[in-house]
Amino acid sequence: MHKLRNGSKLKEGTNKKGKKMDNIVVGIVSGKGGVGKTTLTASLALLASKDEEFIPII
Amino acid sequence: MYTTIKASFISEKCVHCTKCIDDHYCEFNALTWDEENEIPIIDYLKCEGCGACKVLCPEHAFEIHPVKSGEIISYENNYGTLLIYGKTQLGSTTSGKLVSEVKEFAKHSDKYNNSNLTIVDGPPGIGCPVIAMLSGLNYVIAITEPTPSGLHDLVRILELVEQFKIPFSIVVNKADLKSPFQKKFKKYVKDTEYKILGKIDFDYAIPEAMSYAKPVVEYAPQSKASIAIKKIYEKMKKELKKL
Repeated sequence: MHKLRNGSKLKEGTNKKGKKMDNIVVGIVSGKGGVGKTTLTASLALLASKDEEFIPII
Repeated sequence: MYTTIKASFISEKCVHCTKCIDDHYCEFNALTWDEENEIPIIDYLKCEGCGACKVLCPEHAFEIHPVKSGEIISYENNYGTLLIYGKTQLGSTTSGKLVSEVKEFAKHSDKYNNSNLTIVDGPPGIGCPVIAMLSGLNYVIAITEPTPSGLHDLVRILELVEQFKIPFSIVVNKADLKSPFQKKFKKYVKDTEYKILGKIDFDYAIPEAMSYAKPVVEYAPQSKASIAIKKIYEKMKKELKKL
């Protein structure tokens, strides 16, 4: 059972709205270093964690 | 703990024949001869753990053993998100294998079953770790900048992504760079008709946020970079719904 930041618990395999979900894997890539992959990853992950539709992992 | 295999030498079995050096057992030049002690020395930074020395030595003076070559670290960050990453030891090989093991580790974590989005911060380049990372992805965001090296490396990575047949889009960072190269970059995007998910203009809020170890959308939510990233996020959601 996943515990949300507000203390409530989620049923396995459902999102914060209780909707059934699959795990989507998104990769951030670039052909070289130093173009902002980690900056974008961190920001997208934070936005996803605040979004009711997603429970992200990085 | 993440392990790879390396050769080890059993001095008691060695008959000092120098065959391992003379017959060039090691394709990676990991073996040199210690004249003083009359034994081979293994350079562990060069050893790939292929096992050729073990097979070829008639005295069986070489063994292959697993050695620690990195770690997989996982913890919940300040935002309640599970963060998993791999760390190789200096000079260790097979970073692609580490990436695969990190992904496997993530899949077997308790939180994976309760999550519906995995965001992977890919390694740079187009080598083995990137190939390992691309396998199994549902969507790719390729980030670049309008510079000669940015475009050159974008072309390389997209060739690789296309081989995996993964849907992708492009994010242009430092999109407002005043560079004569902008024209060429725009032409490339126009000619290829690749989808641009968004553009982030140069913004000092990004290096500032990094110095405070915070995502820019938290450190400076009203900055132009944050606003651009929020738009990218919304577009990404739409793209993911199409999958």
